[in-house]
Amino acid sequence: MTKHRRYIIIDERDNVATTIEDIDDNEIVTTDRGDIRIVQHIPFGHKFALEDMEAGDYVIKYGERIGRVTATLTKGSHVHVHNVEDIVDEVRKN
Amino acid sequence: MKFMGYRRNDGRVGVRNYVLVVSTVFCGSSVAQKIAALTDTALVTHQGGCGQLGPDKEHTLEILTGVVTHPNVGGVLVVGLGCEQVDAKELMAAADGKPARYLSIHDVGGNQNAEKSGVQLVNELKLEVEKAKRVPVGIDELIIATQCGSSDTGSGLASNPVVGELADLMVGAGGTVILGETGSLYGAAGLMARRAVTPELGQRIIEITNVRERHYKRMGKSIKEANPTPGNIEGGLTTLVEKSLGGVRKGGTTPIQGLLKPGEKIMGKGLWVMDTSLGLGACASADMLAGGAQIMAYTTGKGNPVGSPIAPVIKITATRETVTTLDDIIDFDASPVLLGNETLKDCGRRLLEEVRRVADGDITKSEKFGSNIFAIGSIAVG
Repeated sequence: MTKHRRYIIIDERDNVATTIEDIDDNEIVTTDRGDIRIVQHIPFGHKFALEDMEAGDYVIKYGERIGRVTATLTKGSHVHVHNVEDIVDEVRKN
Repeated sequence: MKFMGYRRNDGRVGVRNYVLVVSTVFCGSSVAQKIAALTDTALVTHQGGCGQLGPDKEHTLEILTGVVTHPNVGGVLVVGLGCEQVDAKELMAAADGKPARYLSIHDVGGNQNAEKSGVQLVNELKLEVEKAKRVPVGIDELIIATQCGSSDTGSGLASNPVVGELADLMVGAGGTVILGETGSLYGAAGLMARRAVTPELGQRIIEITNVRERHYKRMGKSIKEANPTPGNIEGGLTTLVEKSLGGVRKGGTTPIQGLLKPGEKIMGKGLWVMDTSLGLGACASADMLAGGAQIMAYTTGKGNPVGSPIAPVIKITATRETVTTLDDIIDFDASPVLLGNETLKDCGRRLLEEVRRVADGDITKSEKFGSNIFAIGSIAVG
């Protein structure tokens, strides 16, 4: 069986990848930014961090800011509503 | 890249040569439906045309004018009642040199006479419309409308970005792409404003989303408070900004050239935003198509069967299960992206080939089934 990708990075500026299948914790995912150990189970369609992030850092997807990290998280972590806040009012300011 | 299209008198190019039956007012819809069914022609009916006020009245007239002048329409029969706001004879005159007829149910003496007379008029039209022949034209003559419906996790992740790749290819080739669905732009308005060709245009894009949010708030809803929905969050969407960016990705990544009113005639090249009207998805579709888009690229997750009487609609999904179970709805399979076997760029190029085939005359699934969905929305104020 040919090895297929398990995630999508939509824009090269993104600091998160979105899974296209469930990935279990401790699995190693190969990326062009090196191998990443998945910290906790990531369901299909959810995001994991491609780099370590600090509270206050922006989550980048589609090459754009989509939210702000609220806790320290290591690469491979599940990035979702439990550690990200919406920045809709901020990004709507031109 | 070239395709074979119909060059119309006004200079625009059609990808179809439909004979269309259109009712001016909801009162004439049944007669129009009967005539279209008996003659196997395209049909536009709607809920407006009378008793409408101000901007809604103007909007209905603008959409119906866009329909009868549409380059995909080779000839048109306008069916009126006789006492409505939208005048059937004037609408027929708007067709501007295209084979066109009108009838009034009052004048011809009732439903059955109107039906009989309508069938005869359509048969006359068919003979005239058949004279139009396809000629080679550049792909830069195409205007692609974008829309989504029955979305799922694969929409923002794969099928919308694939349409975005198509959009960038189309714009690069000198064509036009339309991004609508104003309510869904809300969380991406700032980004879109930065991509606008002037700061003033950027402000106008933000303002149309402000108007939409104020309108919804008066109705007791708020885009900001309602999104992302619990279902979105379960599917992996974290913020409203992420959701909106996934939607507007259908428009690709090129600069935004201008902002159009709902149903306004599309004259420019490149990527344009249309401030589509309030209502169901079908209303936004009608706005973009009446503006002159000849093909719609429609992304779906779970599978949406809606087609249009005035344009081929290419249904695109990245969800494998939808491709296999809804074969007579889905036109384009983007699931290799979601299975990890194809890049977004490669899939976008494959979609461009599909668009060219459809422009050349390949029949889409909704055309084959005869889906004639059409609705005219209302105008947001506030």
